[in-house]
Amino acid sequence: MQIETGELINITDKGNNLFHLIIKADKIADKALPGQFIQVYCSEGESYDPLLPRPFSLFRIEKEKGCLELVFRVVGRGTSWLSKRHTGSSLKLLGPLGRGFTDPREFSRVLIFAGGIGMPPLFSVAEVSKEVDFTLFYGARSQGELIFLERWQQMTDQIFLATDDGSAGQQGNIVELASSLLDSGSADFYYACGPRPMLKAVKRLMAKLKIPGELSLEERMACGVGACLGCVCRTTSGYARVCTEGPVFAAEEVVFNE
Amino acid sequence: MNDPRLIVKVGQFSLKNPVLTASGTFGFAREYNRLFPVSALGGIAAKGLTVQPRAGNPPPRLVETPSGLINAIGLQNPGLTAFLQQELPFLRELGTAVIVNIAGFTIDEFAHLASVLDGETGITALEVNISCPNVKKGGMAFGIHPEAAARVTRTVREATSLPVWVKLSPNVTAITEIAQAVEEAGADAITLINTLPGMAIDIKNRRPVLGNISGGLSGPAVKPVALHHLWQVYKAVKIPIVGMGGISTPEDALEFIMAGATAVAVGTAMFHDPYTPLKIINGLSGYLDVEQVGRVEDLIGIAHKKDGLD
Repeated sequence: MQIETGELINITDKGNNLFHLIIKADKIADKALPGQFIQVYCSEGESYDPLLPRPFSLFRIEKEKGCLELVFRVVGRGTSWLSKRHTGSSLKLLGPLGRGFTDPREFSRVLIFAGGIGMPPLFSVAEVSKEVDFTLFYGARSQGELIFLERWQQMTDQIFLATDDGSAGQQGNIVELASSLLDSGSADFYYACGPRPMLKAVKRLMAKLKIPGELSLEERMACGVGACLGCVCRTTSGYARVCTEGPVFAAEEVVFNE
Repeated sequence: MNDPRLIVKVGQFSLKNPVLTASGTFGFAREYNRLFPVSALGGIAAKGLTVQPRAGNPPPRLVETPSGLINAIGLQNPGLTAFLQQELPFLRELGTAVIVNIAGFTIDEFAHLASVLDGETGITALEVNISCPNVKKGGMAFGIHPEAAARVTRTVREATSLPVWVKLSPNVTAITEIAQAVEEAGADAITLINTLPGMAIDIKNRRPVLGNISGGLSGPAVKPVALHHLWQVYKAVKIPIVGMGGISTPEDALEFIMAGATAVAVGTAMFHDPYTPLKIINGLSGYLDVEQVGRVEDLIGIAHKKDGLD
């Protein structure tokens, strides 16, 4: 990990408070792996507000171009600040951080469960698994939030969609949809990222089908490097730091609140 | 770096410069040592250590507030035995002063921690934590009554020949009485301030954000409060004071030194910029150059003198 000043190459408003950034940051891009994350320092010059950097998973890692791509939703002051940067702006970054996904090329058939703004890190893992047979379950509140669907469609034709309002795919959630389609022979591994209730449901379904997998978690974070012990989640071996032992955890290790 | 004008004496020993890191924000130095050479610092204060391992508080443990951070970590640490086996050997090799922060839940635990650590090499001083707001018993309870604070200090003093620093809570009616009580009980130095109690509500869930409900506020938001406590305590005691609470810039550090701090510690600002302590060290040298001051020690408490520069 290191601190690097990146240059914002492109910023796109995808609607519904969703933004896509392309950042030139050669050193971090060179080292980053799918599932890892970076911290972006979201204040300028002498300002101490917002005080903390914001963690973002990596939507794409383009090593040849030295670029990182982020996709995020504006939810607070840090993401609001970031969404207002212009092309050419400098961004102070720390990364790559945390533990990423197991290489999908170790498996033959893979399932991907993407819930809303949990989609981005899964795209980076799918991009390295072009030779792997994978199936995407992608859910969001409505059609407009199923962003970058066309890019997914370029990678696979095995895509199942669900939206809360039924504006695309099946009305409802992707776990209900998956449970009607999958059996224990459907895959030998899975990756999931999304809201906690979704991850909990995915984990339960996959445990029933005896398919192992990994979940990418998020938590409120401060240092991002493992020093402050602020971002812990519950695991079968006690509290673990999302920034260091995670953000990707073996699904069976993660303990959800009942 | 390595500017001899920055050397300060805290009681019996010297620090290469007056910039430390604050306990709880720096782990056991492993993580930040990957970003910069920790040996450049005046010293580091390790994460609060208890006799037994502690899991800490349920998440969420953090919430950001305007120019501040509320944390409720709950003294998560590996316990004394694992510290001695796994962390202290690493800390010894850092090439800087190592302050071990100890937190007992009873007087006997403070005595045990102090006597076991007394036999170890590579420790510069013990920092007695009588001010943690995030644990249910012990912690801050020892820091809010002069008699209890003195009793803990005396117990640690008798159990070790290491320098004893006592970290004070700002959450008291008269911090000077606590400071005088620990000085009289044998403290070699005072460190202040620990965090201030605070909380935040998630209006979507209609519940407190933190798993522990409340926590300790730190960061630039608390700096004026810390400076005020430092100012009061400097007038009340003769032992050196290590000042902390929101220090983020060389200018902040200079304010603390001028208010009476012999050294300062950087905590929450590490999260905003991991290079903060290095920038402060350089900034102090720069100030001495520009203002033609011989040594940083010449500035300690200078703001208490009646005649300023203009």
